[in-house]
Amino acid sequence: MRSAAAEAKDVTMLEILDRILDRGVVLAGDLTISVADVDLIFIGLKVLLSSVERAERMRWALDGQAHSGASYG
Amino acid sequence: MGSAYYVYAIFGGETQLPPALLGLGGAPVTAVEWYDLAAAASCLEDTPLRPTSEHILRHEAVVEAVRRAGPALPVRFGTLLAGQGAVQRALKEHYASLLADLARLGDKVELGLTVLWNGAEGGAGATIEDAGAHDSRLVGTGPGTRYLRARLAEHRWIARWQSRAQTLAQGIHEALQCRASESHYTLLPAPRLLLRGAYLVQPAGVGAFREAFEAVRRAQPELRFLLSGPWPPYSFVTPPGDRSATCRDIWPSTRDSAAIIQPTSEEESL
Repeated sequence: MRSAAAEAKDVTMLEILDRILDRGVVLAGDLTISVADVDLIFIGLKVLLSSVERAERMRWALDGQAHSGASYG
Repeated sequence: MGSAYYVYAIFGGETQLPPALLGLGGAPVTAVEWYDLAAAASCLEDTPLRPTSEHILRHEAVVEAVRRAGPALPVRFGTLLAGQGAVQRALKEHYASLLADLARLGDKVELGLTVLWNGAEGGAGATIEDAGAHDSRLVGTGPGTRYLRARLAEHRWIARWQSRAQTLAQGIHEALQCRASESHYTLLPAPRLLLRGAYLVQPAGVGAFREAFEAVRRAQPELRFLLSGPWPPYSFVTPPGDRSATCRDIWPSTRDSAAIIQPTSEEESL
């Protein structure tokens, strides 16, 4: 069973991730960020790496188109 | 990567960076200045830039340290520029927007709100069948009619719980936004998430905001709340597309600038 401290740490990490990957000052630059040796490439200001929230919104929108919004997990 | 510069925060040139501040890979964080703006940055020699927990926490720690020294804006994770000259060009290009954001946000903090609900399972207190599909136009018992009746019931059911979500979220947001100088929220970013909100407050106002939050939480025991922060104001910086006034209005084009920008006499006169 996971401790409350471990869960709090995970929540904190998710909250930080949600902010620093998706928000904050954007300066020009072409960037490459790698996850597990796979490059997730920033092309100009078009960010391919997304926050959990944005990915979830996109997934939900796609689900909504496929299932008229009636089915979700 | 060579001598690429990783940028953590933007701050006023009058602020002194904390001594011995270390960034990614243990590199010292230094100030790269452009007039009265500066960027907190460090060299990223051969350290692979990955969003590991170590890198993310180090980025956030540097931003927090800079903000303890003075007003500062948080920069998005992964901002890596070609060198000191490229950092200066970026400060020059976004000068007006950064200066305005620094004055508006530099000394304020952000509180994050997440509210979970049981949504369609119980929040609306109804099932698809309860939503009903009685419509005088849908007569008969054939498969087509049954299909249309099911679709109508589904549509009404979704509309009912989305309306309930809207009412709940607006009530929560309105109770909190009066404690913030700026705020915004997203309704139903995911089915389980009733809302996600961000509230910009003065550090001295955090206590009053938390009191208001506790009152909201007590009034809605069926919902689950998470209030996080105070954070640097990540959610309130001006998005790139909204920078109506950049230093292109003030300075000559950056395309012709030298690698390390020095103000010309013409620029100094502006």
